[in-house]
Amino acid sequence: MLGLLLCHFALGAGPRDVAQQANPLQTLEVSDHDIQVTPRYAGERVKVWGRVEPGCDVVVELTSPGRTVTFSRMGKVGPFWMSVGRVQFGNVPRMYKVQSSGPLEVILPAQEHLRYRLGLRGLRRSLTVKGGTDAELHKNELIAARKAAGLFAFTDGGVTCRDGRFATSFFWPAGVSSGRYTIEAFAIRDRWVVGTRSVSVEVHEIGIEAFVSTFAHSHGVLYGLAAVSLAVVVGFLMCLIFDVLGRLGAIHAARKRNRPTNV
Amino acid sequence: MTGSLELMNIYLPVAGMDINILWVACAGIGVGFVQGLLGSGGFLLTPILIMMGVSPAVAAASGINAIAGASVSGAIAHLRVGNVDIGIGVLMLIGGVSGGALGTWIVKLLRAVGNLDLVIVSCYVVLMAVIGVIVFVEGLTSQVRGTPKGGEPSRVVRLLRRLPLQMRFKAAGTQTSALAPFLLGGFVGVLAAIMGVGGGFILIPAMTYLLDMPMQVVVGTSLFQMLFTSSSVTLMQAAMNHTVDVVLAAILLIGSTLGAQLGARAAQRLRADQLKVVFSLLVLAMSVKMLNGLLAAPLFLLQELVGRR
Repeated sequence: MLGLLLCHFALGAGPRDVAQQANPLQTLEVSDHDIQVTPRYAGERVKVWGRVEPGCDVVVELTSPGRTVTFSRMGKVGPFWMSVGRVQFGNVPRMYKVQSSGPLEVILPAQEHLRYRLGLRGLRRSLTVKGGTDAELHKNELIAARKAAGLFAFTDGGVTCRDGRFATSFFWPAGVSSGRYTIEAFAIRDRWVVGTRSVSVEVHEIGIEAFVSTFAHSHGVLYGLAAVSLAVVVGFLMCLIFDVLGRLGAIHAARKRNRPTNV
Repeated sequence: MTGSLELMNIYLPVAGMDINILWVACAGIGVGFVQGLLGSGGFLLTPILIMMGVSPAVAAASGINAIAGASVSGAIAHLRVGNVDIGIGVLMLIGGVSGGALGTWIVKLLRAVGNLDLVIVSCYVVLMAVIGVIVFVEGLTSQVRGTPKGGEPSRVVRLLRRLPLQMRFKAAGTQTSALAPFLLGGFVGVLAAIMGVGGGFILIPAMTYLLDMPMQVVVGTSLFQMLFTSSSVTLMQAAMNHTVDVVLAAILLIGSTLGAQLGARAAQRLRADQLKVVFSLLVLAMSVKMLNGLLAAPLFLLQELVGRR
């Protein structure tokens, strides 16, 4: 084991290259590889589990490719809060959640967090900031906003580890966008990452809502025409329905009025 | 109970959020009811959506889409009876489309800067405060609005008659500068794009007092211009800003048409004056609540700009 570790550091290779049979992180499974966002989707909890050599700590990270996101910075102008500038972040994952079997700061030294871009420390290292006044402060604000939206989370003790098995789960909130997400598990022993394994989870929007949203963004004019036509047709139909109902009501009322004289 | 309520949640594709379909339908019915009962209230649609958590840009654009549908039946009915002055209607329409284009462009600009929400909400705070006060006074004094009959035309009417491009409008039985309906339509078009209002609350008094038109032609012509202006604004918003949520608009439309029928029926049994006072207090309360929201510190000092997660 020690030889293997020495060998991989000598070659400068990541633990991802560790031969499979020797990987202390033996298996990694997820309960759903393909999350389907239907109109009724209100979030989904995906279970993650696997086998790991006994004695290891486990950190499980959920991430997605980073994107550039632009924010407006709110400031107080007179009595009002308004946008006073822009901040552009690079490398922002759509979701970033890290759970560990023990306190991440204790089980893994800080430089390893940075090396694997893992946890809060790793995330802050990868984020880039353009504009604004104080990059570190803006990173904090971004992370706080994403945490509140249920998109970022850091949970020490979120992974249970017993008898060579580990388990945890991640929640994909409603409104999460489609694309590929990666779940990567790290086996940690003696404050070293000794094995990793990853699986990907796809999120697909399906159904009429997905079609509508894509259509609205890619064919604005056609979508607008459809929206107007739909409104006009629905408005016309509703008018027709009430017209018919009104006439039926009038006939009914007339009959009622006439009945005593008929009898 | 909450479980079954949660089942009514649907995902709004363009707004990008979950919303309870029942609440949206109730909002539509409520606004339609007020409109049917008191003759105005469509302007409440967008602020109610904003209070429900829909982003102001999407609320305004989807609101105007629903208004396009809601004005169809009225416009057709008035056209059939000849209550539409086509000359004034078309001039206002040209103004409305130009104003709508200008408004849509302003929306795009403000959105890129990140201050669109502030502008929309501020406009509503002012609008609702003004309407609230007017309706409150009206309700208390039971004033009946109508055309000033007989006597000399007012000073504004005479001023408008001195402007260039004077035209005679047959159905409306009035003479004025072609610029007047054009500018009026243009102003309402800008408001339609920014706030998502049909503009009846401005058009109707303006056409009665400024253009000196008879009431039934005023209503018909304003519905005619509203149908086409709101349709074109919907189209432009969809093309430029991608803010029209057709699912939201459809639910609101069905709800408000239903509500309007109920409101019209209730109007025969209820005393409108007393209701006006209640309604005005409600509008004022909404204005105060939105103002409060403007003054309160935002939860996060960074707000994500246009684009989806």
